Amino acid sequence: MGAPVMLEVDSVRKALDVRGAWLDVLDSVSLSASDGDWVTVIGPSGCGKTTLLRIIAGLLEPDDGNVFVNGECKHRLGSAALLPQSDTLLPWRTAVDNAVLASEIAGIPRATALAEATRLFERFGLSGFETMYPWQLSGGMQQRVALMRTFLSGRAILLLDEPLGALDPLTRASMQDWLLAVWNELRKTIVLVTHDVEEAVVLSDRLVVLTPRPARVLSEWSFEDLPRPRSRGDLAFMRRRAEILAVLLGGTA
Amino acid sequence: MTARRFLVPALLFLAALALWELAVRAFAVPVYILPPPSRVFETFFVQFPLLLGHTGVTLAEILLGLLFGGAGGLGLAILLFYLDGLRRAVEPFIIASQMVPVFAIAPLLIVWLGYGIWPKVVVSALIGFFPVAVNALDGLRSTRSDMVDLFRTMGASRRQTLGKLLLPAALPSLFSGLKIAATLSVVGATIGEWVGARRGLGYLMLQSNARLRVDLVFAAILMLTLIGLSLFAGFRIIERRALHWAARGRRSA
Repeated sequence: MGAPVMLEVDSVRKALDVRGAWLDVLDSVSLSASDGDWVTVIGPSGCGKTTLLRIIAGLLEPDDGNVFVNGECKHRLGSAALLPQSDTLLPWRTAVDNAVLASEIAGIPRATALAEATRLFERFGLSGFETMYPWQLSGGMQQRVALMRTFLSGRAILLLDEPLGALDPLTRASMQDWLLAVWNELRKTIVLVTHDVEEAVVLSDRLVVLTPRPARVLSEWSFEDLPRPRSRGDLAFMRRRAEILAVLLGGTA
Repeated sequence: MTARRFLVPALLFLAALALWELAVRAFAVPVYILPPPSRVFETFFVQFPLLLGHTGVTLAEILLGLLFGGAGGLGLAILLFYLDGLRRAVEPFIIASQMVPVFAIAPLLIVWLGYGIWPKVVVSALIGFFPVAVNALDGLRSTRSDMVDLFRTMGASRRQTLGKLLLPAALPSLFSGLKIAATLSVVGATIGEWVGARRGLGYLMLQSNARLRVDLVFAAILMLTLIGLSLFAGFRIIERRALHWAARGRRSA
């Protein structure tokens, strides 16, 4: 209770130039996250979830509305760590050198960054793979290195764009449990974008459901009544999942 | 595997030499028209000290030309990458400059710069410059935009983005350009010497030609070929070392 507000997105509207045609992507989207919150954004594909994350990260400016990251509106680029949807490990860097990239750019001494990274390699289940190049790692491992890079950025807010989207269902489920454990330990504010309802219910404190493009907030859900760790077979869990899915498919609240 | 890769070309080469030898002997071609390969090799070894003396000058011209052409090409590529307006303005001229036969201006360079090594260095640099500039610019421009965005969210400076992302990403293209430049620079230095020189393999070729020492012309050609091949192989080795991270799909890691 009473944790400071880390992120405030207030009635953001955005149109994008897609090959010469203006496309209304976000109509009016609002959400907020307090320190240590896990907020998930879900919506039909192509509804502008990625655009929303890019706006929060400061890569895009909204046409209308405001975004405050840590109380800062104008200079928010660099204050939240982004994990893009596509594979963004640098192929010429080893796993550990990829993991410390953000620290290196921030000018943190290499020894300090490496010490912290080495500790996390164990936690991320990647011990022994420090000096491997991305192409030598499996998809799940590459994604864990990318996640580690995001966690090691030193930023309080992490923006995760479908981080587990490319993984097979089994790896995906175990990565969800593991991600939750890491988050519990490191306590960051997370905004997760996904298209998987189950993933949203397993992981987050709150869920924001968006309409098809141009996106508005269709409904908001809180999962604080579902104690963690949440069992996917639990009756309350399944009921909540079904309700959200019905809203998503129906398109109206 | 390596031995086998070289075996077939080597056999083909030997067969061509044998055919040449046989043809010269069968038709009793005079040595001042076309010497047999055995005579060329003999001259190569007998006149080795003479050849070596001229090789030093030519090699210096080639290496300096490559250095200036390569550095200039890369420098221009970086400049044009950042200044898009300038790129649009000068790109037609850069392409048009390739339509000007560089060898045609070689006599002018002799007038301007004298009989020393510098006119040859300039000719060599001018023709090596283009493939490096074009390939490096292509490499820089093809860097994935989501990677560039990621660096922006990490708060990377322009210099950090260039050093840690753009240049490593452009390295494969840069090497393609350098390998082409390496072979062209040999041609450039030779032609530069034809126009006016007191030393060098090109000069030796002209002198020998005038005295009907066709065997020595061929020996000089052999030396130039060896220089070109060594440069190409040298860049290949450096490339393999520098791009070892791109080992994916290669037989050995």
